[in-house]
Parts: sequence; structure tokens; C-alpha cells
Amino acid sequence: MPKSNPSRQEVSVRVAGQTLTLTNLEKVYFPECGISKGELIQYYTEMAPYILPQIAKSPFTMVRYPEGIGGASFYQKECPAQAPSWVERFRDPHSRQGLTYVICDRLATLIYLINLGCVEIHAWASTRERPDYPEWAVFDLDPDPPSGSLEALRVARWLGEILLELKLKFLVKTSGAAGIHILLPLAPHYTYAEVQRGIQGVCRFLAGQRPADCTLERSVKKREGKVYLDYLQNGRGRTMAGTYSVRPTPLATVSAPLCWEEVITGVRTEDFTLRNMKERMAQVGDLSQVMEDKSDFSLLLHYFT
Amino acid sequence: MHTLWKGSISFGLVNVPVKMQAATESKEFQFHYLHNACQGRIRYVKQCPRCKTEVENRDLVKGYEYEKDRYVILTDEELASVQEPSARSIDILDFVDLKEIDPVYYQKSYYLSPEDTAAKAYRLLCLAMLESGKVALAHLTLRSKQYLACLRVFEEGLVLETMFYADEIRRMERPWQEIQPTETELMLARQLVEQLAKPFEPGKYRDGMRDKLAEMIEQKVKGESLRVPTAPRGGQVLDLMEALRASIARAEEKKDGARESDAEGAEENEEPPEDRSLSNREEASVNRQVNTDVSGRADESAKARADASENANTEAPATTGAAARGARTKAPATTGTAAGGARTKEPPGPEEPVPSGLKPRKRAVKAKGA
Repeated sequence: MPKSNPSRQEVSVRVAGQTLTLTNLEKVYFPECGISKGELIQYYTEMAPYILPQIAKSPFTMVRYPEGIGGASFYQKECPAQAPSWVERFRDPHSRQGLTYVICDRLATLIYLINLGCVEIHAWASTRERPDYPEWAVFDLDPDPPSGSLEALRVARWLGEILLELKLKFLVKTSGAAGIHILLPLAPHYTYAEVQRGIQGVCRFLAGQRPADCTLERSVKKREGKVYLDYLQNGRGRTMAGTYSVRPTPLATVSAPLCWEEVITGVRTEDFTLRNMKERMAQVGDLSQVMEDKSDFSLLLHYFT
Repeated sequence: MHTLWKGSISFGLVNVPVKMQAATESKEFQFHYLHNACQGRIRYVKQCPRCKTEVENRDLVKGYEYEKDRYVILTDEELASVQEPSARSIDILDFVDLKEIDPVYYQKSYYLSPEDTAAKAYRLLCLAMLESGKVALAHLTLRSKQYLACLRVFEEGLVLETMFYADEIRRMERPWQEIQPTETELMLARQLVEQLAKPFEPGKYRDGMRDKLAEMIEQKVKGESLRVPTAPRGGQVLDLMEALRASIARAEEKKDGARESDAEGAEENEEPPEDRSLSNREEASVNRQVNTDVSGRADESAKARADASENANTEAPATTGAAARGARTKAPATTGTAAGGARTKEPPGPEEPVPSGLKPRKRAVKAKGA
């Protein structure tokens, strides 16, 4: 039983057969653009049909901003003990602490998590069934200022051309900030280590070809304004903002999938926000569907490791 | 497992920096007292029976009752003055045979693991103790009490058992010592013991009562998960989208009110607001915001922040229930992690020592690639 608290606003809602208590929906989460927690939940409710299929089987890492993006935040992996009983849980057999993760497999759970103060979608690349075999690989392109999204997109183009050459399906999306993510859908046959080695190989190759534009330098100081090719995100338990995830940025930018034409012509990554994604979905549809097309990773491994 | 204590094992001239973690945990169910009428969680209040008032922590002193109703007061300074100076070390006194120590002396087990720099010295100590078959008796100070402890090798690592001092072990009267059974009786009893003798397999014993209790609680939670949230202080269950729309409308109203009341503290915004494309539904409301001047928007965010912090006191424990509670009960560990610079990597790997799955962070996540 929660402590009685007169100033706490709560409302009970019915979500797909489950009753959920939502709290403080009017609290402003994004002060710059006045987006409240209620509006954030509304966004995720509308986007759930596109978000849930990608994360429904994977352990979820919470990054909670209980006071909005201006306040303190913290990581939480352990499913809250008082989570409703219908919230799916996954006990990670490899975790020495016996961590039990939330599996966000339905709308009610997604809303429950956002209500706890989660702003972003952070789920593993692997599923509970095969936790050691990722279902996607990622190239995380992180431009070091003064480089920005234009430079990151240019690198994405080069990487995309390599992947097209290998006949691989992939998804280019904005990170929600200046960066770009390229996701490769995979059949879960390769370990995280193997996948990371393959992605590292491609990154190393590209950095060799374009040393003035990209770098594998892990130290931020030594990146010299180039685009950092981060292959280390391909690790067990590593998570990053997923497709259609809102980011804790002043404008509530969204990690938005791009079509190849947009990668070529260039886009402003800050143009994709919580408030215009619905409109964009109506125009371009769900570009993340390409993730259903599992790539054959063996060719990449063959050439780049 | 979180670190309870850091210090070093010292014997002779050797120093091995180590971290201490609890080796055991109780799986007992914890119950809380609730008020039967409203199910409010009972809060414990320190009350002085003489003055009939609630007493705050800062008004408490420690007294020792040396005879009935008569106390001597000991201040924190006085208590600190008797503490051993080497509070951060495990001082090895003697090495003895493990068999010599009866289990009645043991209190609680802790794992000791080496600090990164000390792995080799630690390993060396383990091997030396294994080969000699000896265990170490040591002194250490934990929670301002000096403990006697036994240091031994368990599964290739060091375990520290805190022990009772000899004068803490009670004497037991043993009048049956005089009785002498016959040799035949003794033989029968010995046979019985041998029949039941087996290798020790700790995993095969279960707490049957706890299992039953767990099942009972699970059943109750299932039955109640619907009941508890449906009845929050007389509210009714709403359609989700309806509730959200209403909350956004109310938030908008609040914001408009806030804008009219104050006006200062301009802040340059590099994003021309016109560039934002908006969906039709929000156009009206956001355009209003766009049309106000820059200073207006800055105020609004300040106001919103103030609102948030205002709410924080009263509301935080509720929204962040797990976090807040976890942080409170495990306070030393949580702050320890933060201070210890665990914030170097992000996001952390799943195996990083994150107490109770939480990790406090100072600021918002720096958006990747920003």
C-alpha cells in the first residue's frame, strides 16, 4: 500500500485488460517545450505498435528521470519489487547479483515503465530465449564537435554502401541527438563477441579508408572532431536508445528511422521530435520493418574478420 | 553484492587491501505492520514517556543502565575515544588449526576480495594458508565494535567469520555427563548414526514453511493486483487516452497561468521555434507558446523546474518507490558507489556492482552523439 500522500495526483486507467495507476501526469518532463509526463505516455501509447515488436522479448534497462529531464536520473536494471504481478520478468542467469529484468512485452508494461520516469527505450539486442545471441548489430556513429549530424550521415552513407555491397539489410536511424545508428538485423546465431568482432572489422576498414573523417579513438580528447565509430555497443547487456525512443533532450527529439534517400540528401536530426513523429509515420510509414529481414552475417564475418 | 567495508589485511609487514561483502543473506519474508482500518504503513515514532512528546534523532543521547532506572550518559566523542586507531585494518594475531575452533564461536560470514592492485598478494596469502592448513585469527573494527574474526580459505577465496569472544559463550550445565550407557546400547546408537550418515549436500534441504508462505503470498498478490490499484482514494477507472488528454489539457492550463504571472531571465535559444513541424492536434497549443517571446519561454521552464522540485518532497517517494526505498535502506552502499567513481562508464555492464540494481547519476544522460 503506497503511503498516503495528498499532493500526489493519481489516476487509474484500464490498459488492455490491466488496471494501472498513473501518477503526476501533469508534471512537466521537458521544461523547454512544456511536454508533460502525460504527453510522453501519450506518445508511447501511440507508438507502441511500432516499438513493442522490437523489444517484446528482450530485457529492459530503465533509465529513470522521476523529476523530468532536468532532474537527477539513474539506471535501474532490477524490476521493482512492487511491480504488478502481470509484468513479465527475466532473471539473468549470468548475473552474479541475480538481476531480474523487466520484459516490456505489452502496452501496459510500457506505460508502467514510462510512469516510473523512464523517458527512453533501452532494451537488449538479444532476447530472453537466447540471451547470448543478439538479434541486431549496431554501428554507433558519434560525431565529435565541430562535426555534427551531417558528418555522421556522410559516414552512414559510406557504411551503408559497404553493407549494400554485402547484400545486407539494415536500418539507419538518428540517435535522437547528433549521432546516427545503423542497425543490422541478425538471426540469433552469433555471440556478442563474434558480432562485435565483425562490426569492429568494418569500422576499422572504413577508418582506414577515411582517416580524415572517422576514428576508432575511444578517448574523446583524441577524436579531433571526427566521427567516432563505436562498435563496443555490441556487448551483452549494453543498451542504447531504441528505434522511436524519445531522448532526454530539450526538444524531446526522437531516434527516428530514415529512408536511404534521406541518408543521401541529408536531414536535420533535431527535426524529429515527440510532437511530429505521428505526422511522419503517416508520411513514411514504419521504416523499422526492415528489421524483420534477418541478414546473413557470415559474409561480413568472412570479409572483415 | 555490495561492499560493506574496505580496508586491508595486515600481518607482519604485509598489507593486502581488500573489500568485504556479506557472504550470506536471509531469505526470510519480511512483513510490515499496517493499520487494519486503512492499510496505512505504520510509522514508528520515538516518544519520551516522561515528557509525552515525540523526540527527534538529534535530541537523543546514549545511556547505559548500570542499575534499575539509573543511567550514565556516554557522548559520541567519549565512545569514539575508546575505538582502536587501526579501524581500517584486519590485524592478524595468530594462525591456528580450523578444527580447534568450535562453530559455536562463529557469528556471520563475509567474503573478502582483493582490491585490483592487491590480487597477487591476496592469492599468495590464500595459497600459503591452504598449504599450511591454518586459519588466521584477527581483530577488526566494524560498525564501531571491535570483532574477533577467523580468516580462512573457502573456494579459493578468503572468508572472514566474525566470532564471539570467549566470555560471550554461555556455560551450559551438563548433569547428564554422569550417566554411563552400556557397550551394547552404545553400539546400537552408533549403528543408527552410521545408517543415516551421508555426504553434506546443502542444496537438498529446503525451508518448507517459506515455500508455502511464498505460494500463499503469490496467490494473494494475484488476487489483489486488481483490487489494490482499482481503488485509489475513491477514484474511478478511466480510459487511458481520455486520462492522458485530460492531463495534457490541465498541464497546458497551468502553463498559461504561469506565463502571465512572471517575466524575466531571458535565455537565448539557438533553435528557431518555427522550424519545428507540428502535428495538427498540437499546433494550436504549441503555436501559442511559439508566439510568446523568448523570455517568456525561459520563465516557463524555470517555473516548471520549481514546480517539479516543489512536488519532489511530497511525491518522490511515491513515484520512485523502489528507488527511494532501496536507496534509503542501502544508503551507505549507494553513496559509496557514487563516490567511488563508478560513474565512469555508461551504460554499465550488467555485472558491475550496482547495489540493488540502482545507480545514482548526477545529471541527465548526455545524449549519445550530442
